[in-house]
Amino acid sequence: MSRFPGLGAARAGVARWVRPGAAATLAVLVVAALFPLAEGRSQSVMGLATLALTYGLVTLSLNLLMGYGGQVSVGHGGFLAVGAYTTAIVATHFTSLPFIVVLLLAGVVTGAVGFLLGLPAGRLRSHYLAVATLGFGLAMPQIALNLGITGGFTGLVTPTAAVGRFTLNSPVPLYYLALIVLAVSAVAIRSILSSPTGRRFMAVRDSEHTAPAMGINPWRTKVLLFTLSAFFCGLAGYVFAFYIGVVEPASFDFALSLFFFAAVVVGGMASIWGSLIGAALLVVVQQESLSAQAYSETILGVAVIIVLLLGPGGLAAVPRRVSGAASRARARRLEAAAEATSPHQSPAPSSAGTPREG
Amino acid sequence: MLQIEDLSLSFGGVRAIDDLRLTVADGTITALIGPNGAGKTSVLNVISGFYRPQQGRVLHDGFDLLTLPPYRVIQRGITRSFQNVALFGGLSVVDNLIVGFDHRSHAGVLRNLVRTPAVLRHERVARQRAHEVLEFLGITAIARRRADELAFGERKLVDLGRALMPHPRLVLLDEPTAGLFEAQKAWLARVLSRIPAEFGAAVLVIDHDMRLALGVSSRVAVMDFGHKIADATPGEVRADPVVIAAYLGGGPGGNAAPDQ
Repeated sequence: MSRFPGLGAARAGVARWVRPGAAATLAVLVVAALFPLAEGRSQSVMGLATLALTYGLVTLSLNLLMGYGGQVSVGHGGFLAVGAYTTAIVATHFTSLPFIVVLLLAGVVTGAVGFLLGLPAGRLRSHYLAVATLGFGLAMPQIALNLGITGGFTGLVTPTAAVGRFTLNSPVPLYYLALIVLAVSAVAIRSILSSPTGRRFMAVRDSEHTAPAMGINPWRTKVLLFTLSAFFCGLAGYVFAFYIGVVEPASFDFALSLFFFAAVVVGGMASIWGSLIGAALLVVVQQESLSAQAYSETILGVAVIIVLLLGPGGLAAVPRRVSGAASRARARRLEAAAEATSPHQSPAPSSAGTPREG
Repeated sequence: MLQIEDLSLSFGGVRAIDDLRLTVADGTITALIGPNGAGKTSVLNVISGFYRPQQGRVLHDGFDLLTLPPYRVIQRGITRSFQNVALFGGLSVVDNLIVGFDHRSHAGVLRNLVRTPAVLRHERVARQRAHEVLEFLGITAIARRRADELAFGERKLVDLGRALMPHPRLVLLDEPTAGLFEAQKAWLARVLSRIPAEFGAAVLVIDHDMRLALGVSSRVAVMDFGHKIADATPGEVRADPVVIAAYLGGGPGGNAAPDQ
């Protein structure tokens, strides 16, 4: 018998993100893969689905930074711009490069920009960091506007590209590319998160000032975090370049960065599924409010405020909150039943209280 | 062996540590006690690299610890717990412990991403070790709980467990029994006294609870206003009139109640 006195009961751990298991993940993938068979003829539906997948990856990359790393960014539209411009430039000038090389280049170049931003940003906290990333997000389209290589105001037309015999400039192949890039990235991010690297991210998020005692260099960890987040955002930029067809400064206005921020909050911090659902939901909301476009940012803002007030965990926390409420109700029933049978027995001391006799 | 020589630390005009000498021999438990504000926690913060003293040396087996940034101190086999128990709230208890072992992994992102055999081995060893530590502390039941859902007493134990994960040479414990109730304090004292035998580690423990400090340690140093006022065996310290004065009759911090 060796047990710490006043130890709470054993309880199955509740995962940080909704973990529907491998089977459910597979089911979602199958549905997503079969989706074009049903809707493939509708260009607008395929376009919207592709956009949801692309924004899903951006939101996921931002959630890696915010939800798992505890660092804020309201400038991820800037990283998306770097990825998209890199794609357009490289694909225009090196037409013979295979798509996978261009895709990885978009990721690596954007990752390098993330690294450079991370060097100073890794020393900043909370609102100072928000302002720094805000500046980055605002600066990127301005730089694109004034550089020669980015085509200025008119931007660059994304050249035709193909994967095998599928051209990326048509809706269905692009949808599949977006799906595959997102799926592979999500698996990679999950793998990183359950490794020492990922635990370091979360350690810095939860207790930055004590993390060094565990051998963690917070600044280095944050620079790596920015680099990785930007890398995955750059991959999304590759798909986005083909989606929009013309890569121009106006595609990356500040509202886009706010959109991703809102998607992370609405979907749920530190949740992979939440990021994808949050992005998809906001794409639909934005689409539905096209007739009232002037209000679409207002709608985003209201959505964020509602989530922050009602359920800070976002959509991803809903199952946990429901199961938590259910188990609390069960505990109350058990307690009531126990009290009814043995009214004089006092409950065992719990470690939450400080029973201290004599 | 840890040797602290002529250590002085000031914050502005306040001398937190004044010319301190202290030795912690391998495999022993040394207690550092004293009233509130005596400078005890500052000593731990200097050893673990969080504070830089104005003067003095801190040697571990002859190696000058003051040359290391805080995140390299663990590589010398020195770990610590925290007075305010700073667990990683979003991680499970097991993962909290494993973070205390992750400095052994030298795999970068890419190798972690593709899970090389070395990465998998690290993960296996870490989990095995976490299980052993949980068993040693008697908290296997909470292994999968999230740290921010734990009761205070459980957090204290997880904090201690995290420091034991690398099988350190020296563990620095900052008030391990503060806030625990009596049965838990007794349990902690028992666990603490077994650390040198089970893990081969020396322990430097700070505590308000004189009974715990005198009960588990072979050497007791007493601090008051940054000065060391005694350094002897528990029996000698208990009878030392200077110590009794500091605790009972003493200055501003003299309200810490000694038991017995």
